[in-house]
Amino acid sequence: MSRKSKTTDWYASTGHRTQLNLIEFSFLDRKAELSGLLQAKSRQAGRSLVENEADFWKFVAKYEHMMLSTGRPMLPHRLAEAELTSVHPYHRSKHLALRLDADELLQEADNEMQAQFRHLLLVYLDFRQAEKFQRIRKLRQSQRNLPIARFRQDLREALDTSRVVIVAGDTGCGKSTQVPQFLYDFGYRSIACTQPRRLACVSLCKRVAHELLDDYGSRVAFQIRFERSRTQLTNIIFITEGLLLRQLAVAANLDQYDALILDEIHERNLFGDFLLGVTKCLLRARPQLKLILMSATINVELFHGYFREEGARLVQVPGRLFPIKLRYLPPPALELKAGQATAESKRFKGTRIDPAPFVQVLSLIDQQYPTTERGDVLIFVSGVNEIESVVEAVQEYATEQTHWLVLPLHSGQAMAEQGKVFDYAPEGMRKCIVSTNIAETSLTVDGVRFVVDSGKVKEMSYDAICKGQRLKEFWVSKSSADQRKGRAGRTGPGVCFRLYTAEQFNAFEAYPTPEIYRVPLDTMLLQMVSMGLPDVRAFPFIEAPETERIEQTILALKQHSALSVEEKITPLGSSLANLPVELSIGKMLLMGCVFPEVEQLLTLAAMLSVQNPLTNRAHTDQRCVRERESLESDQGDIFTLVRLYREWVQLKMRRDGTRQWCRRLGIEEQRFYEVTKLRQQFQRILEGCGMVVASGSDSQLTSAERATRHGELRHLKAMKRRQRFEQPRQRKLLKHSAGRAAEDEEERDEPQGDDMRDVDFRLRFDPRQLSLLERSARLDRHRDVVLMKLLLGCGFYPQLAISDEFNYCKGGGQQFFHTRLKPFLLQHPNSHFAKHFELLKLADSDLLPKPDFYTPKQPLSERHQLLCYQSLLETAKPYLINCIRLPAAQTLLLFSFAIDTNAGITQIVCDGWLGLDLPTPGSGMELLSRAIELRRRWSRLLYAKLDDLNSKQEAPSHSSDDRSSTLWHDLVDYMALDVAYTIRRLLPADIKRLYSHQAPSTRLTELKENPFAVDYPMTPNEEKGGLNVSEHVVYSCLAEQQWTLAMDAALRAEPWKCTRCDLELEEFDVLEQLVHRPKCKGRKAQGQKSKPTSAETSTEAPTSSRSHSSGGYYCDTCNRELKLSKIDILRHKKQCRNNK
Amino acid sequence: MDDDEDFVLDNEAEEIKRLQLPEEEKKPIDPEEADERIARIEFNCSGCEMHEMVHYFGRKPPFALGVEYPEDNYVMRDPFQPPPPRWQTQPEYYITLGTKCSTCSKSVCKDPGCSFYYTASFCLPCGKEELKNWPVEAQARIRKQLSASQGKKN
Repeated sequence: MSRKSKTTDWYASTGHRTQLNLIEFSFLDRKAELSGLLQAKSRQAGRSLVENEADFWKFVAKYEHMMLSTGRPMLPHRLAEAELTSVHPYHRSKHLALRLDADELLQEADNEMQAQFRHLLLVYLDFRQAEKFQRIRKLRQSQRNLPIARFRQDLREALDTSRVVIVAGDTGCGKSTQVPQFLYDFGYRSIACTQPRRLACVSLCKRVAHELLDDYGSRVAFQIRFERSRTQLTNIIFITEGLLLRQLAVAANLDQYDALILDEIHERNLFGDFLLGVTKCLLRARPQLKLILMSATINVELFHGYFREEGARLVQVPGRLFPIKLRYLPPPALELKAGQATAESKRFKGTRIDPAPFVQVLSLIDQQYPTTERGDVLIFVSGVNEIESVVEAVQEYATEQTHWLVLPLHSGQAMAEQGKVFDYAPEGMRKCIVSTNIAETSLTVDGVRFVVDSGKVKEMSYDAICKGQRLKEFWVSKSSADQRKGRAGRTGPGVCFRLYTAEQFNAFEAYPTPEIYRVPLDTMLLQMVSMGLPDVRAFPFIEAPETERIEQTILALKQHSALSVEEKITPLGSSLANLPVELSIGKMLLMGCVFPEVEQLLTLAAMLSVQNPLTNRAHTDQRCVRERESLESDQGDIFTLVRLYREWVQLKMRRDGTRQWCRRLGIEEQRFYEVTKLRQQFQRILEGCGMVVASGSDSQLTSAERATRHGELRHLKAMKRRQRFEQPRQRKLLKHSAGRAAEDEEERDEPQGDDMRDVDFRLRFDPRQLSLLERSARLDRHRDVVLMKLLLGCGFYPQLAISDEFNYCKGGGQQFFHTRLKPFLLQHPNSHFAKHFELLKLADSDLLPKPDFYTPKQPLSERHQLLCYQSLLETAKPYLINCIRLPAAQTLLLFSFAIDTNAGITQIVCDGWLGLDLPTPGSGMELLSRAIELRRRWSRLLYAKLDDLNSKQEAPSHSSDDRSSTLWHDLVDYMALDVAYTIRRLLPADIKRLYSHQAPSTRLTELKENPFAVDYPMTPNEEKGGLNVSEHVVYSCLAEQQWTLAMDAALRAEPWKCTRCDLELEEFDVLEQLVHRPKCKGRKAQGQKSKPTSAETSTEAPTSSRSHSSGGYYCDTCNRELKLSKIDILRHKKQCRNNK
Repeated sequence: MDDDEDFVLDNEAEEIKRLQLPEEEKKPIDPEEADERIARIEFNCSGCEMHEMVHYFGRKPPFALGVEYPEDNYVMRDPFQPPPPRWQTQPEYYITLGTKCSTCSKSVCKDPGCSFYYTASFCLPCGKEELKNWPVEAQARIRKQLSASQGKKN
C-alpha cells in the first residue's frame, strides 16, 4: 500500500503525461497487438526477430516485475538516435551496443507504448547477446581448466621433434576431446582418432564439434560400422579401431590422414594391439605421418619402450583427482546382520553373490555421512546377475532408507537406460549405481563420492585347445582396482570401500590380461596375411601371443582352405578377409554363393552375426515365453530368431508399430535393425566382388506406388531433419519410486516420440524391397531349411557335438554332449533343445533290427543326429551355444577333413573321432560315393567363382546357375538318404588299432580309374595304409573288425545283381561294384532324369549364355508372360494355385 | 543438404575408393573459398585469452536479421542454432564477440572483465581513464566492473 502511494507521488511529479506506468499497464496484456512489432520484413510470413517468442514474453514479465520491485514503475523516456552518443545526461539506453534496423522491420511503432515495446525488444536482444557470448566464454574456460590444457605447448614441441608422441593421462584430463583440437590448431587437416567403442566415436564427435562451435557442421565426423557422418569438409574423424584396420587393408598406407591418434591403447584389446603393430610398420612407409598414442596412466613404460626406436616422446598429464580415503572392508569385517536381505534371494542358486556386504556399506555411509552432503555411490560387481542381486537387496534396504535411488549399469542395457545414470538425484537423495567394469574407464559418471569395489571381474577367456570361450570370475588387477578407486575422487574428496583385504590387493596381478591372450586369433591372423604380411610370426606384437596358439590358428586357417600349404592367402581366404564377420559365418556365405538364391542365407548369416536379440527377460518373464511359443522352431534357435524377424518385417510392411511388439516378446529391437543393416552390407560386399549377381533391378515400383513412396520419403526426410537439429538429451532429475528410479514412465512416453530407427528403416526400404526382405526370412519349405542347415554345418564345421550314449535313459538336466576335444557339455538352458531334448533322441520306432553278423551294442538307425554349434561357452557349466541338428552320417561325409574307410566301406571314421558302421550291403558305398561327388562339385563351383573374380572376368558365368540349382537338389536328396548305421565316439584305445597301415592290395593299385573321383590321381597313403581317393578320403585303410569279416563272408556266398542295370556278379565283391558304379548305364539314365545337365559338364569352360535359365515363362493360370528364374516359376505356380 | 549421404549404408570398400581420389583434383574447384559459412576472420581479445574465428567484422552482418551495431563488431554466426538454408537469415543468428576500443582501437571482447559500453566501447584500461568525464551512474557501473575484474585477477 505504501509503495503504491509513493509511486503515485513520483508519477505526479513528472511532467510527461505520455509516460507508461507499469502499475496500471502491462505489455503482457497487449500481446496480440504487440506481437506484430516483433516481426521482420521477410519473404517468409511470420519471420520473428526473436528466436523464441515465449522466452521473450517471459523476459518481459521479469523485466516488468524487476522495474516494479525496484520502485521504477515509470518507463523512462526514450532517446533519439543522436542523443545516444553524448555522454551527458546519463541514460540506461546508452549502455546498449545494439540497434534495431528500422528498414528491416515489418511495422513502425506509431505510439509511445509501441515505441517503448520496441525498446524493450532491443534490451532483450542485447541481453541474449550477452548470454550467448558467455556461453562461448564458459565453454572456453572449461576447456582451459582441463589438466591437458597446460600441456598444449609440450605436445606441440614433442610433435615438432618426434613422429610418435605418447600422451598418458587419466580419464578426465581431457585428452580425448582436446588433443584432436590441438592438432587441428597446429595445422593438421586430416586427423583420424580411433576409439575402441562405437558409442565413444559418436559422443566424442558431438563433443568436439560443439567445442569447435561446429555442432551443425561437419568439420568433425565419426565413422562406425553402419554409420558415418564425414563429408569433404571433415578435418577430424573419430573412427572405430576395426574400421581403421579395414581401411588399412584396402588403402595400405592410409594416405588420407596426416595425423593418426590411437586412443585408449591401455585397454589392450585385440584391435588396439593389432593397430599398434600395424602403425609401427606404417611409420616406415609414411615418413610424414604423425602418430599420437593416448592411454591412461597404466603401464606407460610398455608403450614407450615399444616405440623407443622411433624416438617416441612422452607427455604425461597428471589427472585431476581429489584425495580419496581408502578403507579395506573384507566381508567378515562387516557386522553381518544375519539373513538380512539375503533370505529373500535364496530362491536363486547358491552360486549368486551375497549382497549383504554391499548393503552394509550403504548403511555405514548413512551412519557416517549426513544426507545433506551430496555424493553418489558407485558399486562395482562382476556381472549382470550380480548386479541384479545387489540391486534387489539395495532396493529392499531403500524401502526403509528412502533416500536411496538404485540404478543398474551394464553394457547389455539399452542406451536410454544407460543414460539414466547421468541424471541428477533430487536434493537429499543419493544415487546408488551398481555397475560392471563398464564404469571403470569407459563410462564416466560424475558426482560419485563413494566407491564400493567387490574386487571381482568376469572375463572371457579363450581355450585354444577345445576352441571354446570361458566366462569366469577373477580378482581384478591392481591397476583396475586403482581405476575403480579413482572414480570416487572426480568431483570432490571421496571414499573407496574395498570388500577385500590389503593383503589380497597386494596379491593381485599388476595389469589385466590383454585381450590378445583371451580371444581366438583366426580373424586377426587372416587379416594380417591378406594385408600382405609375409610371415605373421614376424609381426611386431607389443606382447606376442603364445607361438603354439599362432601355429594352431594357422593350421585351422589351412584346414578351412583360407591359407595355402605355403601359408599364402587363397582366393577363399582373401574373400573371407573382406567379410566383416567371424570366419565361420564368412565361409558359410561364400559357400552359399554358388547357389542360385542367397537371400535367405544373407538373412540367416546376419542373424548369426549380431548379439542374441532375445533379452534375459525373454526367458524369465513367462508372458514373453508364452507370446513367443507359437514361433519357436524345432530346428534350432537360429530358425526361431529368423521367424521372429520375419514377423517383425511383416509388422513393418503393415506399418504397425514394432517397438511394443518387441517389448512384449522380450526382443531387443536394435538387434533386428542391425540384422537388416548387416544383411545389406553382406549383399553389397558380395555383389561388389561379383560373388552374387546384383538383385532388385527387376522389381520396379509401379507409378502409383512410386507416388505414394515419394510422399512417404518426403515425410520421413522431414522427420529426420527435425531430429538432426534437435537438442541432445539433457540430464534430468531422477524420479523416485520405491528405491528404484522410475523406469516405466519413460517407456510409456517413448512411443509418442518419433522412432528414428524406424524412420531410417522405412527410408531405406520401399514396399517392394520390404517384401523381398520378408521373403528372405521365410524358411518354411523343407528344402530351404535343409540347405540352410547344410550351409550352417559347412561354416561351423568342425564344431560338432554328439549325444552321450546314455542320454536315452536320462532326464532334461543330464543330457550331455561331447565334441571332439571336450566331453560332457550341456545345452544352454535357454535354448529350445534344452527344453525339448527328446528332439535329439532316437525314438523307439527309429531303432532298426540288426543283422546277425553285426554284434556291437550301438543302436542301428537311419535317424542319428549330430549337433552343430556356433560356439562353446563355459560359465557355471560348459554350454553349447546356438545349435542346429543335422543327420549325422550325411553331414560328416560332406564336411570332415579326413574320412577313412575299410575295404567294404562298411566302416567309416571321420576326423579320427567318430566311427560309423554301415552293416547294410552297399549303403556305405552309395553314401560315400555320393558325398565325394557332391563335395567336389560344390568346391569346383566355388573355385570357379572365386577364380572368375581373381582373373577379374566381366559377367560371371551364369550358366553355373543351372548346375548350382541341380547341386542344391542333389544335396537335398543326399541329406534325405535312408541309410542305417550306428555311430560312436572313438576312444584313444580304439584309435591305436584303427588303421591297417598296410600298403594297398595289388587289385587296388592296378585300378585304371579312380572309382570315386575320375580326375583325382590315386596315391597310396603312407601313414594309415590304403589309397587316397579324394582330397579328404582314404579308402581301405581301416583294419577289419570281427563283424566286418563276418559280413563279408555272409555276402560272398551270394551272387550280386545291380539294381539299376542287368549286370550280375557271381559273388559279392565291393571293388567290382565300385568299378561298375560310374559305368552303370541304369544309374546314368536315372541320374539324367533328375539332373538335366550332368555333373561332368562342370569341368568345361563356362559359357555365358543364360537364355535357357531365364527365358520367358507363360503362366496359364494368370495369363501372363513372366520373366522368372526356375524357382520363381515354381513359386509363382504355387501362389497362383493358392490364389484361385 | 546432404541428407542422402546420411543414411546410405556403409560400404567400406566403396568408401575407401572414394577417399582414394587424388587430392589435387579437388583443389581447383574448392567450394570452401567462396563459402561465407566458414569463419575466416581472427578475433583476439587484448584483455583476455579469448581467441575465436568469426564470420564478419562491421556494423551490419548479412546474416543478422533486423539489427545493426553502432560500431564495428566481430560477429559470428550463432553456432548454437541450426543453420538457416543458404542465403537466408534467421532470428538472432548472430553473436558479437567484441569490438575495437573507441579510444585505443585495440580489439576487446564483450566480457565485463574486458570492456565497457557507454555511448561507445572502451577497453577497461581506457574506460578507467575516461570515466571521470562521465555521469556518476555510469562511473558507478564501470567501477563495479573494474573492481570485479580486479578481484578475479588477484
